[in-house]
Amino acid sequence: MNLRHLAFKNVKGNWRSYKAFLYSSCFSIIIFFMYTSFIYHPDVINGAINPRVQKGLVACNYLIVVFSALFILYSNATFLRSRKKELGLLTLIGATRRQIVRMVILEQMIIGLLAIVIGVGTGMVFSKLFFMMMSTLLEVKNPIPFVWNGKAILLTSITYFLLFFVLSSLGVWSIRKLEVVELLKDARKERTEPFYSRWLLVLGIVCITVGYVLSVRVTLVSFGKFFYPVIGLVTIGTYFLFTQGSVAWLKALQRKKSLFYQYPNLFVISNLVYKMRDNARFLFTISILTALVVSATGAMLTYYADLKNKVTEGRPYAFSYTEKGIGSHTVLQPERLQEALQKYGFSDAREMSIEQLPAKFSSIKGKEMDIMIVSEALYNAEAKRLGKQEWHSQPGSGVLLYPDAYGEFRFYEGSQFVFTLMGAKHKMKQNIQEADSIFASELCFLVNDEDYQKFAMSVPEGERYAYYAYEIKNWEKTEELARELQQQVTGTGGESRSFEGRTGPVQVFDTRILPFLEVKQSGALTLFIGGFISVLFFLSSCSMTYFKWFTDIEQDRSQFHSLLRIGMTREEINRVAIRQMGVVFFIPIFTGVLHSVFALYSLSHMLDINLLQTSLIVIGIYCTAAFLYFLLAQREYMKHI
Amino acid sequence: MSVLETKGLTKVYGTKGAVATTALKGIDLRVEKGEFVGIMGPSGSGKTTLLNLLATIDKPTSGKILINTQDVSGLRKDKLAAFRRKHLGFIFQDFNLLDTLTIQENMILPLVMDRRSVTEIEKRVGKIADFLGITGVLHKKVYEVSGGQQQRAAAGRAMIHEPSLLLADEPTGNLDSKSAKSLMTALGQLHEQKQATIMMVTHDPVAASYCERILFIRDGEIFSEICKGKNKHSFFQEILDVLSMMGGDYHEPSSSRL
Repeated sequence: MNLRHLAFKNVKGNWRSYKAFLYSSCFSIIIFFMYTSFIYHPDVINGAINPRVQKGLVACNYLIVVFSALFILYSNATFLRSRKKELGLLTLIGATRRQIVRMVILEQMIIGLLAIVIGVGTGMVFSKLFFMMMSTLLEVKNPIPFVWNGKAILLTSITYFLLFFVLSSLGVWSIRKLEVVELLKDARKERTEPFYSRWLLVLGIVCITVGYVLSVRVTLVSFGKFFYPVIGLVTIGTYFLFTQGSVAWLKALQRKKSLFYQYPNLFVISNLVYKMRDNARFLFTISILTALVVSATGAMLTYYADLKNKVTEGRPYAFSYTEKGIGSHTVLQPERLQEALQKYGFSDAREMSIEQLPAKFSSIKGKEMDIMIVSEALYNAEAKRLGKQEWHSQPGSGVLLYPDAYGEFRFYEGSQFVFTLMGAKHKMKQNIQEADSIFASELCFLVNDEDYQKFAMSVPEGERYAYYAYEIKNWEKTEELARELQQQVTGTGGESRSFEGRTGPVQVFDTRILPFLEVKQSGALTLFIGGFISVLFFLSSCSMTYFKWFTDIEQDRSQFHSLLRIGMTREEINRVAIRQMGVVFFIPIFTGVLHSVFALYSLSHMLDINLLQTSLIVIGIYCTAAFLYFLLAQREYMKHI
Repeated sequence: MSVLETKGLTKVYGTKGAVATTALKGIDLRVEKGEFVGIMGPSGSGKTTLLNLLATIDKPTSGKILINTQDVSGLRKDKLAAFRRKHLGFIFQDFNLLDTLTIQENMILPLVMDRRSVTEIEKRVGKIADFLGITGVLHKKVYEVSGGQQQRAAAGRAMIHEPSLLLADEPTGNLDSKSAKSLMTALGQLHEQKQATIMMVTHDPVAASYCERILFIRDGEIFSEICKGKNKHSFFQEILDVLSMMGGDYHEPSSSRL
């Protein structure tokens, strides 16, 4: 038997702990491979696919690699710690450091190579399915075929090979400097009594409370100011809650004799004091990870669900365009438009037009911005039809309206609205600023008819703008019409929805259906791609907790053996074991979910959308999945007790 | 009334295929209530096997074990654990205390398992700790007290629920002579003052001299039996005589084989 045989034997012998590691690694390799083979797919490279998708996938791949690295590094460290005794024994019987290091690296490379082979193989099988899904989501005419992608295979194999090799070498480094005595020493023998600092605990609670209160209060405008402080406070608070709070809480439970002197509390609580103390930092990491996964998934889901609404709500018309010069028809020829409407069966479309006067004003940041002066009477007539708010201003005053999508963003401050119209400066009282408008992309200043007539006198017809809009009942079917019209529109950014940065009024053609479709597609795509990442994060964080159990397996085993000898039944011991495992497993998940609840709440508050349903679904799925994982994992663990 | 009775207790290991080893060959023994019985014998004589069978954690190949006149070989696994908890107390060579618990918490385990009230638990633990002289260390963790104190705590745990039979496996095996002496004194007092029935496996003749009666086992059979007279010293001498007559190796490995 040589070193290689020993390494193989060890892999076999430690299969229980390597198994979950292998599965989780395989999963990340499968995803990495599927994404890579998409990125390097001939069809994608030739530009048949939107390059944004490719870029998104590349970003995802970086994320997967970074995360895999953390996962492998962490898992390796855990395995080695649980095998300290074995390695110490080998040293004692004369194995050199070099031999041990080589053996451990070899072992981990065996697992790594196995993971790569299985991962790439399974990835190839599933990439056909993945391509099919992507083709459907991207609405590509010809489905992306499966091809033998050598580059993807090579890239995946090399990336993960390096990852496994570098990280296992790094992991071994940590045991290199340990003395034999230390390796052989029983970790628990000299265990110190866990203690906690009252002040740090109070600090932790204060941090979390302040973080939560701030997160509930945050608005879209103050988001930037609050984001980092809230994240920081909650993270610090969680850290202290795990390192101090867990000990404090369990100690308090221990003092309550009527509760503590009861089976199985006596065992569970006294074991947990140590388990929580020893694993505080780890549990903290897992809870932050859980918070990240759940809130990101929830936010992603909601963001797209809401964006669909925002896109349609902010565009009351099936399509609209702004033209410079009354009756100039520089954007669209009326006859052509009517033709197109006839052709696609929308001759019942209701046309409306509003005259606008182009003005400029200086924003808070000192930037010159465009604004349209609009007559109240014309506006109100449309607003009434569309169920939007009507406005009535006194002469000499007006209302500043932003498109709905602007939310709480404001560009102007002060009770006097100063603007220039045809080079002349005007000053009017500003009654209110609202993000509620019939216009999809322009700011408008709504004035009394009297005032409007005065302003209009100074603007020649050729300099005025006309806003045309068409209301169509079943606008969902207007995709082809919209595409044809867009082709007719020349030299305008048909889908330009940028809020800021335009220089000079642009003749804008805007449709309701096209942004809607785009959002719908990119939403589905993001969910599909992001879904894998969420699952990957979930699997890895659960697996890390599972490995964590194994570091204590020797102690658990001897304790349970002792309990068995003094007359506890197997079932009673199982109950103790499952409870203490459950607490270690679910506490970080619970904490993470609680953080996500606050994060999602503040998001819903900020964007003014109802997140309840999506949040419940995401949290529900996450918790169910975690529960299932726990059931499987604890069964596996109990087999080895 | 006999607390323990065995009839033709036989244990054969490796019956399937491998060469069968007969560890016990039809042991018949009786322990009356309030007796303090020692079991001695050379390595491989079957002491540990006998104790395991009596502790109901191993099953005899044939024969019967009656504890409190109840035949335990017929009990199902889950019933056995409950039976063990109620009727038996154990002291092990390696103490077997849980190191996440304090001394007091370790001692009360059997009562906790039996779902007793907090007041009863505290009353009992106070009494027994006082009796064993470990009141001062009750709230210390296991690794903070000496081996002798740990073993006395283990004896406390074995006795706290007043079991019918106390089984001790080499209780002094891991102790220095001073601690061993104080433990044996404590066991002797338990036996004398509380009428505890104790059965102890040992190879320490000094420890054995605290017993009332000693059974010597060799090659799975009872070789001889001696009873304590009036004089402890002459009893010790008698023990040594029987041991030298039996021969065999007494320098056993010190770790528990249970």
